[in-house]
Amino acid sequence: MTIETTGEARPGLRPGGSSRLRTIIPTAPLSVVLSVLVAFFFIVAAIWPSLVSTHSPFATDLFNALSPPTPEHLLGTDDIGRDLYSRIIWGTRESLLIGLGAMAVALAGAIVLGFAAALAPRWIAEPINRILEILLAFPTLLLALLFVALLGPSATSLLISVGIGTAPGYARLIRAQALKVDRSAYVEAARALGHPARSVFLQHIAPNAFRPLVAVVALGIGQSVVWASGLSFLGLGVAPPSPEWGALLEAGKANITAAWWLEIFPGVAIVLVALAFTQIGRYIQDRSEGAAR
Amino acid sequence: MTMLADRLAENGEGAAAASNLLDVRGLNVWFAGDDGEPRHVVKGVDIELRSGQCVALVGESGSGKSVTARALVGLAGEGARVAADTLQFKGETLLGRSDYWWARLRGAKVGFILQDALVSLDPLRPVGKEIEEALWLHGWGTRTSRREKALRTLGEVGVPEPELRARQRPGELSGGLRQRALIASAIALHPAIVIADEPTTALDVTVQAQVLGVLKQMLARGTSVILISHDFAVVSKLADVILVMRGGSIVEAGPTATVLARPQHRYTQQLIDAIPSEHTKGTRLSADDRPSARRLFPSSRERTA
Repeated sequence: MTIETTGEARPGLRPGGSSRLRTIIPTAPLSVVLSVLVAFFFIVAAIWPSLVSTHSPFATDLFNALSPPTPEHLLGTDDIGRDLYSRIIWGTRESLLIGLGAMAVALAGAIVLGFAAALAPRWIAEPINRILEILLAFPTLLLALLFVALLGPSATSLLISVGIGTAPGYARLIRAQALKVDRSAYVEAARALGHPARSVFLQHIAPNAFRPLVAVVALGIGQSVVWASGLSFLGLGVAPPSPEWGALLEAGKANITAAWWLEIFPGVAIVLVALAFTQIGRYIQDRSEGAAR
Repeated sequence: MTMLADRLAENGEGAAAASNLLDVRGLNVWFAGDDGEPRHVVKGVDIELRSGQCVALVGESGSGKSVTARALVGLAGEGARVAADTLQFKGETLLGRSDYWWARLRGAKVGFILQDALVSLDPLRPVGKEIEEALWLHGWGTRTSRREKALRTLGEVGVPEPELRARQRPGELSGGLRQRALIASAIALHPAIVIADEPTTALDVTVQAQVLGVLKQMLARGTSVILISHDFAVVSKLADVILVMRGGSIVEAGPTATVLARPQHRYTQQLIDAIPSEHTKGTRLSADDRPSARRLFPSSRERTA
């Protein structure tokens, strides 16, 4: 067999920019490629829903109420004839925003608490550690429910509640990473080179502690979408007629025996988003662990 | 414990002690123990280091040599208490200094090469950037001149293709290249003293020889080196003076050739006996079967004699 090479060989060089992307994409497993496509579709739907929807999400068509999936209504219609596919598409923005927002709230809290628990003086770190342990003793959903009850049901309170509910887990992760990096030989080497404490933190500890979090963020977005939809389904988040996915499930449950599609398709959308982001997160995790090795 | 100054005086080197670059007398380090009782890990250590001299701290793991070296640059560790009768660098005391003062000293005046090069470089930063950063921290030059200096320093420590290597992250470099990059970052600002903590541990013999070559060049340029090692074979190639540590104390001190040829302490003898030799292959090392130091170390630097 003859192997032909084209272009100039540059052994040892890290491929950068587009060439790096070209080397990653063909080696990614099919599940990751599909996950990226699914995530891309939902991100487009969130940013520009009219591009991919077929009807207005609020336009009613009583003559076609509770219509099963047809070429006219790809995923069927609800009890007042609104197109389910379009509602799912228009609900993407809210569902993803809640997922991303919850993740952002969780990370913001976790970064402050996690680094303080690891690197602050003992009299600050110890109480933070105890609080984190207490919060971790509560199941995430219970903690989120507690805050929804305190803040009242709305998209904002849902976002904050899911964020607070998931923050302790991330804070412990950041704490563990920060401790590990702080005690690493390269941080000691940085100190030996004359880095003052602030520079050691900003240039060495923080970037290295954040590295595994890239994967965790991707995993967490999918998880947050599931938590938020779950709370909306329980009537504690976004309420109908909003097309948020949890709210769609909540609205559809009254007709579940007559119209299975009202529960199945919003559920599939939640599962697809959660799976896609989880798969992407795991792939990033595997690659970064491989790179670390 | 025999004072190093006394030992050097016996060897007619006492006069030079007046111009010491580093003067350490009665260095003690304690760590907080689990039971609340302080653990005394370094006990009354004396070190004198002159310009261009290499002093080796030799001893088994846990003998206190690394803690001693770290205490000299204010990195003894969390919960460590350091005290000394004298702890001076160029006549300036190192005791009671602020973190900022230590940060100014480290890297610029005293370089520190850590034990394990494989994990002592930030995995996310290209090695060239690491060196440039060390220069920037101490206010050296412009961005362009720092970059040129980093490439030059990499070249000086024997890193081939410095332009290419400077762009690479530690994970893309071999163990030997990483160790040399680490040395480059420690010596970029031409510190007066370089402390090398087991610089050849975990390296194969070929790479060991390369790294020792780099350290020899540094000594030839007038840099003083404190070499920490458990390996007499490595020490014999570089050190002018050997301090043998055990249990936190110096049990024997003297010029390299003297210590190797006529070890006074049984522990020093045991360390020398522990050096693998083809003459003792397949046999148990014992006091009666010890290899001759002169035969083992024919390449000892002549100026130590």
